[in-house]
Amino acid sequence: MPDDAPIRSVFADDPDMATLIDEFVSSLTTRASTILERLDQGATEQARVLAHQLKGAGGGYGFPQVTDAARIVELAIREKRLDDAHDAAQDLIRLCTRVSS
Amino acid sequence: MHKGLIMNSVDPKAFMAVTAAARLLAIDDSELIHRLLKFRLQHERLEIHGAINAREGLVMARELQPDVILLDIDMEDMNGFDVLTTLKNDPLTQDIAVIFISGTEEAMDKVRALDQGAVDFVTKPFEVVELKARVRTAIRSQRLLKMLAQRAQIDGLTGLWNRAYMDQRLAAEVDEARRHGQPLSMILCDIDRFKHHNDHFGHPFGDLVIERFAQILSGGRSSDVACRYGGEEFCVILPSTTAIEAEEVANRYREQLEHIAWSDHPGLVVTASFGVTELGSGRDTVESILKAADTALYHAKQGGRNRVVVSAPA
Repeated sequence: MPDDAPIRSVFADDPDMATLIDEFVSSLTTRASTILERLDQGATEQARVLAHQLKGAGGGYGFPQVTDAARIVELAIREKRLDDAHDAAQDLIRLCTRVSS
Repeated sequence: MHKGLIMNSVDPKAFMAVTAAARLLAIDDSELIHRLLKFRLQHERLEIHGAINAREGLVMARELQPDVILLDIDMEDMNGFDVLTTLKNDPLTQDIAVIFISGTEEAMDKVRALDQGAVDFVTKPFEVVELKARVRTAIRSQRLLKMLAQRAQIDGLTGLWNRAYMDQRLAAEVDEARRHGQPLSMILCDIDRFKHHNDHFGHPFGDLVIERFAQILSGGRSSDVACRYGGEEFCVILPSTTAIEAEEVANRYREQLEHIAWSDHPGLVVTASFGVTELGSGRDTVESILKAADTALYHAKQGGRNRVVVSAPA
């Protein structure tokens, strides 16, 4: 799959999930960007909590890639590798821009 | 709140509870998870509630008395392990089944959660069918445990709560009343000349008297808790009730027993004596409130029986 290919939810064919996935997707880029903002502001614990929440929720909405990318951000923050966390947050934002419902 | 009389020794409410919709409380600081849980569990027989932080969750757990709590570990105001400890240390919440639902993949976190009293651990992101099955299993196990525990606290002859339950319940009610500054009263009562009735009319009649008196005590207000204290002695715990109100309740019990027509023994009048006390200065512990009620009962007996005596404030 090309790096810019759209990412669809694994539950995309479930009509019952449509509204829920739409809501998740519509707020996703903002959530990912907020993580980066918090890191830039030095609010690393807030950034970690947000990454942790996205890690927990991504797969549930059918986006395991979001869970994986958020996990990398959270781990880097936990291990105080803040440069890596910054890069991982940017990767997460790029990934989220590809997510579509 | 359980009423005193348990028909056929098993609380019908407990049976109904097994088939009724269960109550689930999710404590998680991610609103994404709350939305997902609510949606994914909507077709289960569950009444779903959510708390967005740990402190709110603890308050809701006490108020709602859920069958099961889904508890996140990593929350900003308090971590899930501390929440679990608080739940387990509170008599009102200690029996609620807790399932951790967390993004952590650390084996030691899972071990710690289970060792602390959680019944299960689900890793986020969760498989919906697995989560549903685990919730169902936790609710089923918890309800069966509750029924077993309840049966062990029921008096076989009367179906009332037994002494062991009364000790535990009185302690919880005293705590609750002190916490909220609410009145709490207690009635201790004893069937008059019971040994005489038993010896004179036979043990089956003695048992009948005890059963009928138990029915009277359990037929009071739904918030009152009637227990068989031992032999022909009973007690009723009356939450949110002053001694004056409890005295009225006791007098109603007294009159009902006095007016029973015993078909096999026409003209026989069976009576009981009552000691009433209220939580207050000098009577602010389980031991002291029991002692005060016992002293009042003693005075009722000494004063000629078939009467209610209220313990004077210290």
